[in-house]
Amino acid sequence: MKMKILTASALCLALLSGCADKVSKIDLNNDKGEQVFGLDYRDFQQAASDATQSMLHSAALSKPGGGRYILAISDIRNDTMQHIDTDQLIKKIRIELLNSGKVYLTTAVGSEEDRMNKKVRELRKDDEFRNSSISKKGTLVAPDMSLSGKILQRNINMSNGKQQVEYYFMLTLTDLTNGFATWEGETIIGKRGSGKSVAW
Amino acid sequence: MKLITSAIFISIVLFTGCADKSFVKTVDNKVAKYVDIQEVKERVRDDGLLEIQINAQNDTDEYKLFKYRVDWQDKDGFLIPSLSSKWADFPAHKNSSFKINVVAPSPKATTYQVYLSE
Repeated sequence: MKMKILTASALCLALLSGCADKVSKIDLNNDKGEQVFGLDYRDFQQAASDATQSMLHSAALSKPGGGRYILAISDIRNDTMQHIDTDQLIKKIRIELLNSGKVYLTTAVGSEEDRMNKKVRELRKDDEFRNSSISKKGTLVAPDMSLSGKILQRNINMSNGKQQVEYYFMLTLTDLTNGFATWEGETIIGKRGSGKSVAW
Repeated sequence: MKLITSAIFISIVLFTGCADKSFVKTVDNKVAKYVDIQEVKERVRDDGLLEIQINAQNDTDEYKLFKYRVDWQDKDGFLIPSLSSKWADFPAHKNSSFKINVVAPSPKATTYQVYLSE
């Protein structure tokens, strides 16, 4: 009896495993997968690429006399109905701009602030640390420029029962010495499909 | 023996030459049928970034959407990672000329390879 139960259980398990959908890894370099209503990595890649190319084309990041600007990342709002981390967009832009040699990104202030900048300075009072190894006062550098923006979503129900979802990636580069917006960029990504699908 | 040495030397020279060459290549026959590349322009901007522009034409009566990507290399032939190395869509309106304009991701970029595909 025990043997029969065991065999039946093993058979069930084998059948269940066989029925499970296979998982395949996405080829990020040549993804021919169907589009989804929500934002996926291809959309962030496109928006980041458009933004950085547009910034590099403009003179906004070319410092007169050479050198690099110090850029801080300000607020990047997610005004979509999806739970996304805006770093999916901003990290790509940060990497591209840093590699361009046009800017240094600061983590001393802004939304990408690294608290360790302040914490390491608090160690001045701690005798356990060699004082000469701790950053001196007045060594942090304030940013010259700031990048801010938002990702916006609009859902439109069409008369034929279909649904249109529009995403707007809006970014602004501000010169912090005078508050002027020296560059603005917008990438629109639109998707259309069944009205029964949910876009979040 | 001399012949072999010369052959090896010539191969090395040719190989090195190819590694540093800039080009625009259509990797898909379908795209080659409607994208007619007429000119590839390049310039080094005041800020040291290389800028390229491909002037092309879609001679067909159909709007086409194709993809392109650009690989950038430094003077030693080493690849510079960049977002422009990822495939990006580009529109070719019917019976119209179009221009693909890309700025290098770094002042270190001296050569490029542009690929066009369906």
